[in-house]
Amino acid sequence: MLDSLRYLKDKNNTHTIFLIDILYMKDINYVYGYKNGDLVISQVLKLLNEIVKNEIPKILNKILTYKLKHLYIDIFEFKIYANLSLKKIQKIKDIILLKIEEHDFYLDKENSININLTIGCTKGKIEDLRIYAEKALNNAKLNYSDFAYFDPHFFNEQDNKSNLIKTLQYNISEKKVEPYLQKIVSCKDQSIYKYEALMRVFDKDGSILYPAVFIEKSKKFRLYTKLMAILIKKVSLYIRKYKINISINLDFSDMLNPKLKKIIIDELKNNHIGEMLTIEILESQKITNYELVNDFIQEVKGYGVKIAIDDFGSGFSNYDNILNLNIDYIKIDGSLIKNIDTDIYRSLIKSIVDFSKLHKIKVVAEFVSDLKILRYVKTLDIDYAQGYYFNKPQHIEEILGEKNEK
Amino acid sequence: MKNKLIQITDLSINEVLRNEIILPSLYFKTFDENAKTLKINLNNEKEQKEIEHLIFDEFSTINDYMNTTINSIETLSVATKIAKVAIKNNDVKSLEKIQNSMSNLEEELKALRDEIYKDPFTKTFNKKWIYKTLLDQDSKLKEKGIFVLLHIKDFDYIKDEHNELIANNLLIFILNFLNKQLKKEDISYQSVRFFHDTFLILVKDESRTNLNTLLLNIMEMIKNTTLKSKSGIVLQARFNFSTLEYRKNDKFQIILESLTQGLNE
Repeated sequence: MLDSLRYLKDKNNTHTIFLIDILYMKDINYVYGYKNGDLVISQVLKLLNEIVKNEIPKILNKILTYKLKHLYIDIFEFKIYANLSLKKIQKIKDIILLKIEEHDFYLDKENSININLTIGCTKGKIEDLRIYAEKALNNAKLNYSDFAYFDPHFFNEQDNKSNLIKTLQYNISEKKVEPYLQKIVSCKDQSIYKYEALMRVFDKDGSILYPAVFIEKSKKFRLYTKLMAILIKKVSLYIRKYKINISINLDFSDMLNPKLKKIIIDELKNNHIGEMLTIEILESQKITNYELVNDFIQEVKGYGVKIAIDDFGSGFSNYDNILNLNIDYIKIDGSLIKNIDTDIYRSLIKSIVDFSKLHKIKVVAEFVSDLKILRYVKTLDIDYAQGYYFNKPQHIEEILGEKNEK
Repeated sequence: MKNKLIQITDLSINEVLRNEIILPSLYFKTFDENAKTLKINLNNEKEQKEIEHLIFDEFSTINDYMNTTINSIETLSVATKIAKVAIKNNDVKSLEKIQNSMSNLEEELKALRDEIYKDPFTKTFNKKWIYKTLLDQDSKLKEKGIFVLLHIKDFDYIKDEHNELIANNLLIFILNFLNKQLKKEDISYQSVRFFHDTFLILVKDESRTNLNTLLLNIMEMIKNTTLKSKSGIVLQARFNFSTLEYRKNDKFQIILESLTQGLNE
């Protein structure tokens, strides 16, 4: 007993933590009512206590120092004050799954149901150990698996996260967010038609961070709107200052975001950039309300803004949805253009081009990375092309430098 | 056992390369020391037997190479004789046959070259390829370019703590991810497995600044990815790297030392 107390007090000791989650608890509450849901939870807790007292000591060959509690709604926390080997952790997980999943849980009207669990586990010395057990639990759920163990060797991830938050905050406070520009050229004479603005941020050493590194994370950290606001204002400035046509990317949530919408409308109203601005909308299943999108399109079109559908041909592209939107351009997804030299992809691209021509919509081919692809693009009568064959996204000064040289 | 011996060889070569002259005795001494560090007793009867087995396998492989080469030479000799007659008689059918046998020969030679110069597991080049292709007789670089020394973190930890299969899967995942991103950015490159967990990537026609930026971004993207084994172990993929521009006639050994130093900073 004294040993156990000493272990608990010593912060340098390793603990092992299991988070045990009842799958589809919401459904149980919905189908059988909250009263029965609570009944199931109390039975699970009782059963877990029995497993901990009777079964697990047999696996570990000793009496445990542990804490077991109902954490919230459908999750239980089982903390063992010991540094368990992975083998023992697996055995504990197996016995919990077996005993709970084979058990009949009784409801108020003498009916019984069976339940399934997902378990996340980790071990370590740190105070916020539960965060990593939750990571394991989420990972297991995402992969439709019943168990995941987060290796404590990789705990420093938290530092990476705070570093990225700091970097993004620095880019916001110093207004470092920069639209890098990629040319969109006419297929007829390869003259520059417009530029697509792609967001870049910088770390403290001045190295560029690519969107794949920070866009999704910035949404998670609730910093994305601030980054986008700076980008939109800089694009507006470049349009006015350098008289160039630029397109920006917006997704469905951007269009619904009142702050971003206000910034866009203010720029269109006050700085008259509408005629030189294109808004690219990602065509995906995430657009849940086409009426709202159309309202937005109508409003910005009133200021002369052109509308493009981005990444068309990827995922769940739908011709019907396109016809319901008042658009000027379709940008064919890079995954199709990359394979343009194969018959099946060429036919698919041709069908998109024919459809677009019929509805007087101009077509842009993305990911044109070499002359061979450009030749195919031209033979299919695509209007505009964009890709590394022309340029990688560049800073405005590099673009202007090239222009002046000419 | 073979993997352990490869690891000892890698470590030993890396250590002795620092010397201007490498006498066999120095190599043996270094090899022996590294074997002890990795707890391999070369004088133990069981391990001696395994080594003998490996040597026998190596001889068999060399024998296979010899046989393939001899067969290829014979095919080539016969084809040349037939071609002479066919050209003289304007025999299109025979010429077609020769073209087919030449294509087969080309395939066989490619397979042979791959066996000699490629790492069988990752399909990247091996160290022999560096000495054959990149360096002259004085171990100086034949052309200018940029080297990236890329170290897969935690490979040994995962191998020891979990198992080799998971460690190898991690290695392949990082390599595939890296290949995809480099191709996406239109980078022309060749990869060499330099140590069991370290790769040397040779890049041409790219600025070092751009390459560093790209690799930093790939490093961050990979950090955001978690991998899960079948048994439920969640891991993170991580690597570190150093880059160095080199010129024609630079000494490979000096470049390698700077790269290694860069990796450890």
